[in-house]
Amino acid sequence: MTATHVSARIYRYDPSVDAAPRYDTIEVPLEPRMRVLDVLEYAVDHCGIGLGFRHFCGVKRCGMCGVNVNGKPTLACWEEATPSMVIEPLGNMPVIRDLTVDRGAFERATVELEPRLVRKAAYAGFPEPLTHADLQPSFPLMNCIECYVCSSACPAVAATPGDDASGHAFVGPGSLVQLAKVALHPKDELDRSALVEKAGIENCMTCYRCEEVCPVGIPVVSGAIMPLRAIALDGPNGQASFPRDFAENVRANVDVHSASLFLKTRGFLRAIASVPLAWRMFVRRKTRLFATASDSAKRSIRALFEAAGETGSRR
Amino acid sequence: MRFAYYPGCTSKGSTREAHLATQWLASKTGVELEELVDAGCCGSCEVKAVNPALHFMLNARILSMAAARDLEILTICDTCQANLRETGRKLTAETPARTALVEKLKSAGVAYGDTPRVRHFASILAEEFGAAALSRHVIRPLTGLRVAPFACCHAFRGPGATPGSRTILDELVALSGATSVPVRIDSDCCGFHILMVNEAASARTSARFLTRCADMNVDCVVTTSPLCHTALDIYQGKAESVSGRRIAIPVLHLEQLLAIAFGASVSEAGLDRHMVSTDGLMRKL
Repeated sequence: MTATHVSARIYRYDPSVDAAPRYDTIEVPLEPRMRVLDVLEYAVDHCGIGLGFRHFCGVKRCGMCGVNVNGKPTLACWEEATPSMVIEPLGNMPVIRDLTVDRGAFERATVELEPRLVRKAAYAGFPEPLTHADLQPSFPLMNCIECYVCSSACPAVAATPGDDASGHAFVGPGSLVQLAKVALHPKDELDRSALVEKAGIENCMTCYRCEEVCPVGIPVVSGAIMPLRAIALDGPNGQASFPRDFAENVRANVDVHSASLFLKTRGFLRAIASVPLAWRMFVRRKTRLFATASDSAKRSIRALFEAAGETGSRR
Repeated sequence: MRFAYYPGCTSKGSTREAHLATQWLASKTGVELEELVDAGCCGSCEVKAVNPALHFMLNARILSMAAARDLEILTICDTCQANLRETGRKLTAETPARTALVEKLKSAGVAYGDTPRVRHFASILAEEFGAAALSRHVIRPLTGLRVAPFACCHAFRGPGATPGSRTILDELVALSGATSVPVRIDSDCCGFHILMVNEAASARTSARFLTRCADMNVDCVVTTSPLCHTALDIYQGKAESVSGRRIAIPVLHLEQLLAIAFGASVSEAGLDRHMVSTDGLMRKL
């Protein structure tokens, strides 16, 4: 039987008056091509609940209407209404009221990453020579509508609370897309390695959740975060040089030798703190003390590094 | 049924039990494994950040070793699988990028020809045998055991994703007789890839999943990824520290869970090599 109604459980919470969040359930006649946003509008106009939510354009351009629908972070204006829905605010952000969240921490982080082109020479005037090939790395990132749906779903954001309640040590994928948009632009001449370090990029867990939830299909990890990690390899603090340590470990050992990588990454003193863990691993036969690759395999892997132009040194 | 076996670095090191259980399970199901010795690392999520061409070349070298034997690749790591699949896709289409990579490989002494198929052992079991045929091996049904499947992110999202890989894990847990408990949510991650650089954040991430497992009275977690296993088992003590909760939930490789159901002993399945003791789990069976 075709469903005729939408049953929506909607998150309600006003931190200034409510002791705890609650849910209101509403019944809405299901219309063809109905969107989640239509259900929210109906709730306000016909159900007598003063629901708080944010939207503007209604056509996936302004990025304002992010919500969680049945646990999936998405845009209310673009998500199809289904007969049974739980509608909640986006995660990783404080609730202002009901479905309206405070995006301030992510927006401030974006601004602090200076997402604007910086030239060293004077503007040569219009038109500037610019080819599609030159723009190719930056181009797909320009579709970002800054909805921060990606950052709301990011486990690394959740795991890196900052020093104060308003921010995160890892700025999140949304802000990194804005940074990469300019950092990968052929006309940008600023050394952005310090800014990428400031973004806490080493905390990205490469889980691809951001790519999965992005409403406009931006290759967040492969197109923005990976190239930024390359830039951060040579950052002033050296806090994001782990990928190079890893690669050099592969060059030396063919298979990754985790004990030596651990020592290199943590340093001797911090590694000492892990001696009890290392000892238990040894007892449980979880430690491979020596690399086992043959000399011919080592030669073959070294040849690949050379053919790929990977010198291992700072650029 | 013969495969080029690529266990990956972790299963030859800190999760060697995955390698042992795989060998036992393969022999039980009649899968022949020809290990790709000296195949080297797939680059994990790190080499691609340093030098994307090198990332593809490391993986292409592994693919070419299997192609030279005319065998498909069997992996037991979702991250290896994702990297090999991503590379295979890149090197299948006739593009200038492919030509450039093949030329570079040639200059390094690697002849790249055909791209072999790459599958995780779990996919091979589900696709080549099917649940009905595999069920016939079950001599110790894990009835009543509450298992939380933890699918690795790299299996089902990102450039090397394998469609349908999440349901495969659930299907294989079900055929062991165990009860699947849906604990993992989509924004969960094991945190493995930042273990080296930010152990506390990694532990907070794994603790989100593990404490929920404890809340839902899960007997064990099962995963298809030795990397997830590392974060959830070896570093479970750190998750306990940051969450202030006693967790003590064993984490099994899928190959171990099936091996136990198929009659393997504790040492054959490598259950004595875990950091979180599996003794209590085995007493329940």
